[in-house]
Amino acid sequence: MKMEAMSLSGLDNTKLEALAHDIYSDLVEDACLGLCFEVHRAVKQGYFFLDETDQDSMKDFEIVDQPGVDIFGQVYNQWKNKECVCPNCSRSIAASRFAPHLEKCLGMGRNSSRIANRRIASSNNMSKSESDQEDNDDINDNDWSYGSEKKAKKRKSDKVFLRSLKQPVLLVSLALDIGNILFYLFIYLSIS
Amino acid sequence: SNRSAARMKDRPLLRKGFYAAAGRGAPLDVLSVMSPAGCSHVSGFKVDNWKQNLRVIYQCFVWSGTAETRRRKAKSCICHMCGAHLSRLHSCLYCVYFGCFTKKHIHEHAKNKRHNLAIDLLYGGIYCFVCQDYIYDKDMEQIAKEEQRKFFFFFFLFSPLSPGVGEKYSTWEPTKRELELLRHNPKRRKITTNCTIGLRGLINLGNTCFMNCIVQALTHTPLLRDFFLSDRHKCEMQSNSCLVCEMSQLFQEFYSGHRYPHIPFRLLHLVWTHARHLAGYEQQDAHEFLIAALDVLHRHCDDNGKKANNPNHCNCIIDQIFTGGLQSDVTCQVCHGVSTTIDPFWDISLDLPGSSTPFWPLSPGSDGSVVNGESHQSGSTTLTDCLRRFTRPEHLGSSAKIKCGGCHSYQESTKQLTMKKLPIVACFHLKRFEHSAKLRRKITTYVSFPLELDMTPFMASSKESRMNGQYQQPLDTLNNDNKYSLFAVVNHQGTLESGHYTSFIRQHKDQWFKCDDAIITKASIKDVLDSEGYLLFYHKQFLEYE
Repeated sequence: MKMEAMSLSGLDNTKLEALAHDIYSDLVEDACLGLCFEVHRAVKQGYFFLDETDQDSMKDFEIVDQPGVDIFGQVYNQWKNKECVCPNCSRSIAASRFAPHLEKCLGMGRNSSRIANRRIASSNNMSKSESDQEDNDDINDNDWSYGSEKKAKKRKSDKVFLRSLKQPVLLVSLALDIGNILFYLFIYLSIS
Repeated sequence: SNRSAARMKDRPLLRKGFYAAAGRGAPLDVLSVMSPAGCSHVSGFKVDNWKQNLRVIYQCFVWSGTAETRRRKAKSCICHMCGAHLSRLHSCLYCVYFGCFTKKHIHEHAKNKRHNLAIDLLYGGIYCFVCQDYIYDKDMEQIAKEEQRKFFFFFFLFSPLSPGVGEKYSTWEPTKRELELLRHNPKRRKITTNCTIGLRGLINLGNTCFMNCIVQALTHTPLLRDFFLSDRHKCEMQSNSCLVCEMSQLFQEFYSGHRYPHIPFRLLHLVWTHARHLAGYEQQDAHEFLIAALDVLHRHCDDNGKKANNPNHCNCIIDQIFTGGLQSDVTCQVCHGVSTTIDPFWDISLDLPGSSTPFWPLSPGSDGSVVNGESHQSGSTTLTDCLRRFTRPEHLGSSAKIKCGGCHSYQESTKQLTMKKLPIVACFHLKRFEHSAKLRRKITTYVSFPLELDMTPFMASSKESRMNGQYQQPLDTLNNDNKYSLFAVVNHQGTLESGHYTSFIRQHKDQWFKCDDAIITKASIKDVLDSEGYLLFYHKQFLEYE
């Protein structure tokens, strides 16, 4: 079939559709040929076998759909003892309590300032060591346990306040903290 | 070349497996499978200035980068015997002769002239008439690769297609050493439809289910997954605190094949470090977390320093996937002049019936564009109802007059929102948490949402047609631009003070899974569509080039 230049303007719809169909079939054929070349090359270069998988491996990763187990075939709720290392203080923390730890560790949130004040007050008092004080904090903060309704009810009014006025509360509490620190510092200096 | 043949002979089991893999029902010449990829017959060609000659052939007749060379190829490349320009045309490597392969015209030339090599003009493969097969010579392939790279560079440089696509995507090919290793280690896994790879549980770090759900939605966003798995993030940050790098690491974890749940403590640390306003770990809102996370990711995607110059015109992956344009038209009631602004958005927050602001009727006056009765509602509210309400014309009232540029005075006006540009991933946020001055509660009204959604009625372009008097638009079924598919749903169970987030995600087209922190289980489409719905993630069905 010789190739010749041809104007599209004079052609009717059926002719145009036929031309479009020809171009389309050529493109599909070219694409198929491309795929054949890929396979041919893979066989010749010796890497075609890589496409094969082994039955055992595939069985290992099959989705499980049974009651009482997840898709990996594992029983629910066996992940109680997971731990992680805090990127901030490098201590090893139980994973399920990492979020409350991180909040205190980064000095964010309402309660971290309260704890910081307690620490400053106790460092003047030599009867307790600092590490003891920290442990007491952790015990007292059963607020942070997952799904605790008690905490929610107790702090309801605080929460309303906090949710609607996030930034100003933070600034106010920070100002209070600085005030507290200066107060204790003043006391300490006047005593010594 | 003899060495590799010898090695194959020494390992009968390997050979068997190899043939079994290669065979697959199609008969293969045993000799050609055993022989190496290249052949000795090219030595006759590789003399004098052969490299340059070969380059010219590739540039002129195979990969024609400019319009000029393309025209020349189209005009001059026809079979010297029958005039065909398709039929797998080949060019002789020794002289200027084109012959088609299908009708064996190039074979005749090869026999007559004893020119034993020819090149396929479509894909650039070299055919040896002595071996009677396509051969892969290392030196010649090197030249081919270079010419192809040049072609792609020029082709995209001078074309109206988007810049920065100058790199041809090249599939991975193992080196000889890698092939050896892989042959010695036959255990292999592939991601099929019944495979757990890509799914992983997430440990709850202390009421962090809100974060886990967003992570599940993001790791199952196809475009985002492809971006990270093809290693497209090049980190420019000096410190270790790039959230995009952490996201990349997360994808590695999800595709690692590990079955035990992942502990996303580093992710939490990074997000809180970069989004301090999420202060405190109290039960966070999943929607808030999504926006904060997208914001940090967007800031950390440097995109070649473009962000520093023009923060509104970023082309990072986050913007490409999630950013849409919301058009706001304010119409003056006196002169009917329209003032239009377009703002970017990452999500659409929709009011629900049951909140303190009335939902029905959708529009105060008659607007004629709604066929179903607006004030009477039978059955449950649909997502479409919410979207219609979102895009309704709203009379702003006498207490909120706008300064009109046409009237030069303050006038009453109506405001209407429509979608100017839809993002690839559309996230709908159903406003279930009400925080008005006196009232704080969760709205549990059931809203039904579809698996497939057509956004055409909510587009700015559709609004224009409506304003021009075409009230009833037949839905153009051939226009696929605005069709979306649901791929993730985040749900909240419980009260405003204490509750739990879970999510449904879609994998492999039609499989759904429920993600409840560390527990991933199979779910049905019915489970998904019957759920309450808080955040709905839809993905564009058809992706177009820019």
